[in-house]
Order: sequence, then structure tokens, then C-alpha cells
Amino acid sequence: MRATVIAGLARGTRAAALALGLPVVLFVAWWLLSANSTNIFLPPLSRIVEAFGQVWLSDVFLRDVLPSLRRLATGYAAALLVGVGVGYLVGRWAVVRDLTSPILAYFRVLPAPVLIPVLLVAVGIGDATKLIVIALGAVWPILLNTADGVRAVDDVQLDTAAVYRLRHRTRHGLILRAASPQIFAGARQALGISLIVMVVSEMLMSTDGLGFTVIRFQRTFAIPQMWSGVLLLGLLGFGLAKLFELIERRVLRWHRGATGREEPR
Amino acid sequence: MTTDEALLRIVDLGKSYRSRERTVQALAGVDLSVRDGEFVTVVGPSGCGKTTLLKIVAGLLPASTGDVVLAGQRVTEPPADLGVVFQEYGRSLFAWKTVRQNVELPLRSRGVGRTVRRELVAEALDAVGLGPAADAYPWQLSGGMQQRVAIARAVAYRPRLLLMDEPFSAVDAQTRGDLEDLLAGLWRRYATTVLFVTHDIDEAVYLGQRVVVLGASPAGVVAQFPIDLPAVRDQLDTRSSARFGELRAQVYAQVRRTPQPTRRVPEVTR
Repeated sequence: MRATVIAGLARGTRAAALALGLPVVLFVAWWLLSANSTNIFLPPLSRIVEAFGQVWLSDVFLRDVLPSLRRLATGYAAALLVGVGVGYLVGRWAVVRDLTSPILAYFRVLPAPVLIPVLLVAVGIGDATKLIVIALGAVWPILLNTADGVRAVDDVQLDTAAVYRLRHRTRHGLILRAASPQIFAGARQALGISLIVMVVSEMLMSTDGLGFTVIRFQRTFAIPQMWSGVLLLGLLGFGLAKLFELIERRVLRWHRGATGREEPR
Repeated sequence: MTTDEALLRIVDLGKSYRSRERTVQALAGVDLSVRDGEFVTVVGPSGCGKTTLLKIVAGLLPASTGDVVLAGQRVTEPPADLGVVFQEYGRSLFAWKTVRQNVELPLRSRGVGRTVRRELVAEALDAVGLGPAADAYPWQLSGGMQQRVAIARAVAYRPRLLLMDEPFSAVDAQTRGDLEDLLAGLWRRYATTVLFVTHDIDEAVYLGQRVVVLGASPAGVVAQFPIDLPAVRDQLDTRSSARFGELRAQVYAQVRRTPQPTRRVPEVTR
């Protein structure tokens, strides 16, 4: 009993050491190597950490971080809604697929930030433009993965639904659920893209937000503060990815089980 | 047997698949009637179009020629009161739903009230011996148990006609015998009409009241054998009886005389 507890602890410690080992080593290396830096553009890490506390643990959080998060969440949610909806239609009906595939192929490779100047003129400098750009950047992986997933739903499942005369609403739900592993794969990619597009759009056209703040620090030569913004963005991306993973693990438990990646009870 | 008694009538049924280069005739002139309450097994070599026949009867595929009539209604789409158990048990169950939810799903769409639904599901799960596994997920069960879930789903649905497409061909011999006896018991208990397709001649003779041999290319009904074995059958006694051996030999000889399909019927695409 005690031995297993100790063994479990040892395993946990080992996993934690493996996961955190390299980041800790890099952090310490950065700290030591930059300690006596006199280069104004590469300040000591100790100064960056100090700036981090001063800048972000203040009302700047409310003024700049929250608006960024709100834009990210809204744009991403819109991308999810449109991507899953349109992806379902494209995946389900060959006619829709044939009609849309040239357009999809074009817009998929168009980098979303290139639309910023266009939207600035057409929509204006407000939040709407940023939300549109974020959603436009994030929608493609979701849409294409949903279409692939829906298209690949097992014929036996569709036949089963047809034979037992399941209601149309039930069938749509079953198809989306069967496609959910691919939908999640697309949504994970889209999350990273949303973050990038959010920062870029705030750097180009904003009066608040993380991207704007980093640019402002750079232009006013507040170099440690600028670096601290980069650190925060990295942490934010990391946290969001972990949160996503947590949700995915829960929702797709059946998929890991059905594909033999989770031990049967 | 008059046609009035027939629950299912298949009349001069034909099916051809067209591809760019050629047309493949899978079924031609299939005539078959199944009486209400009868257990009919269909044998034939693999690739002869057995699955195609079942899919047309289920309303999942349109016939090229001829008619399928179930309880007086021409089949053009999946009819009400039809249950199907597919060979691919793992793929016909919804992995994110529990055993109970899988069995319950068709009843929900049919609008069966909650109380009745619960009773039907509990009874069906008990009948296949899966009561204790009601809250497990299909992927936590063995192949044989997964096929029991698919059978329970059909039983709870109370179909007039149950179609089975090589349902036991993917499980081990021991499990297969158990599932055969389970099915025979359910058939006697619920008096459902069963059309059972298999490539296993022993299984066809053991389960059926009548064995239909499907074959040649394009496939049609080449022979039918009434099976005069006792109604209640037993894996040991029935299979070792002299009469079983004779019937098995007759069917076997017929299947062997039947020309093998020169090419497989193409996989069904929609």
C-alpha cells in the first residue's frame, strides 16, 4: 500500500520533471546569460520579470488583456459556428461540395491579415473589423475538417439511422458527433490561428489590447515591458491550448476508447 | 403457401450497377416469399449479392427491376417495423452512447413514451443477458457482447421483420454458437419473422426453417430446402443428428453445383 503510493508519487514526479525540465533549464540559462547584459534591446531577464509584475498585474489587465480575450473569444466562437455549420453542409451534400470547392480552395490559402486594409476601408477601425479578421482566419481549418469528418462518417452508421427511421434532427446530431474527432482537430488549429490574427490586428489597428500594448512599448523604448508582453502572450497561448486539451479529453473519451487508446473498464 | 400469407414478397427482383466501362448485373429474377413468423436463411458464396439483396429489402438501395412488398406495401424506403442487425456490429453501434442509450434510440425517434421505453429496453437487455452492462459503452464490451447490443436494439424495436446480414461471422466459434441459440430462443419467444443471410451452410441449416440457396452470376434463387428438424434445436444433439447431416449435405451439394461468381458484386456506394 505504502509502496504503491510512493511508486505513484515517484511516477508523478518523474512526469512533472520531464514536462517542466527543459523550460526550467532554458529559463535559468536565459536568466544567467542575460544577467549582465548592457544591450538595451536584450535586457536582463530579471528586469523583464520585474516589468511583468508592474505592467500586467495592474489595471492594464482590465484595459488591455480583457478586450483582447473578448475579441479572441467572440471571433473564435463565430468561426466555430460558421465553420461547423458550413462544413456540415459541404461534407454532407456532394452538390454543395462541388459548388464551393474552388472558392474554398482560394480563400483557404488567403492569409487573413491581408484583409485588414480592405476591411479598414469597408468596415472601419472598430472592433467589428478585428472580429471579422479573427473569424476569417480561424474558420478554414474548422470548416475543412468538419467537412472531411462528416463525409467520412461510416456508411453502416448512416444505414442504421435510416433503417431505424431516426428523426432528422437526431441524425444530424449523430453525424456531427461521429465527426467530432476531426472537428476538434480543426478547432485546435483554429485556436492558434485566432491568437495570431488577434495580435496582428491589434498591432495594426487598435487603441487597446495586447498587440497594441506591445507595439506601444516598443515605440516608447520600454524594452523590458515589451518583452514582458511577449512572455504574457506565450503564457496565454499555452494556457488556452491546455484548456482546450482538457475539454477535448472529456468530450472525446469515447473516441479514445473505441480506437483502443483507453483501457476498458 | 399462398401469397396471402406472405409477410414479405420479393418478385422478379434485379439489380445492376453501372460503372463507366461496364454494367454489372448483381441480381436477376430473384423470387422469394417469407411467411409471417417464418425463419428463413439465405446461403450463397461470398460476393454473390446476398448483402445487396438485404439492402434492397431494407429499403436502403433501390431495385433496378422487380418489387419488394412488405405487409402489402411496396418498399421504396426503410419501412416501419423493420429491424436490421449488420455484420459490422462495432460500426453499427454509436460509440459515444451507452448500451442502454443505443437500444433506446430507435424507440425515442418512434415517439415511445418514457415509461414504456424503459420497460422495453430493460426487457430486451435482459433477454440478451446484458442487463448488468446497460451503462457500459460498446467499446468496453467484447465483440460477441457488442453484437448482443445490436440484437437487443432490434428486439426492443419489436420489428415484424428482422433482417440479419452475416451477423455472427466476425465472432469466435464458441460465442457464435451461443449467439445462434440466443437468436433461436428470441425468435420462438417473440414470433418475429427472420430473414438471415450467411455464407455458413451449417449455420443456415441449424437456424432456418427453410434454407434458400442464392447463386450464379447474376444471382437468383437456385434452390430452396425445407428444414424438418425439431423446432427447438441444440448445438450438440442437432448438429450430430443424422437428419442434420443429410440436410447439410444436400445444401452443400447444391451450393457446390452452383457456378461461383466470376467477379465480386461491387461494394455498395451511394
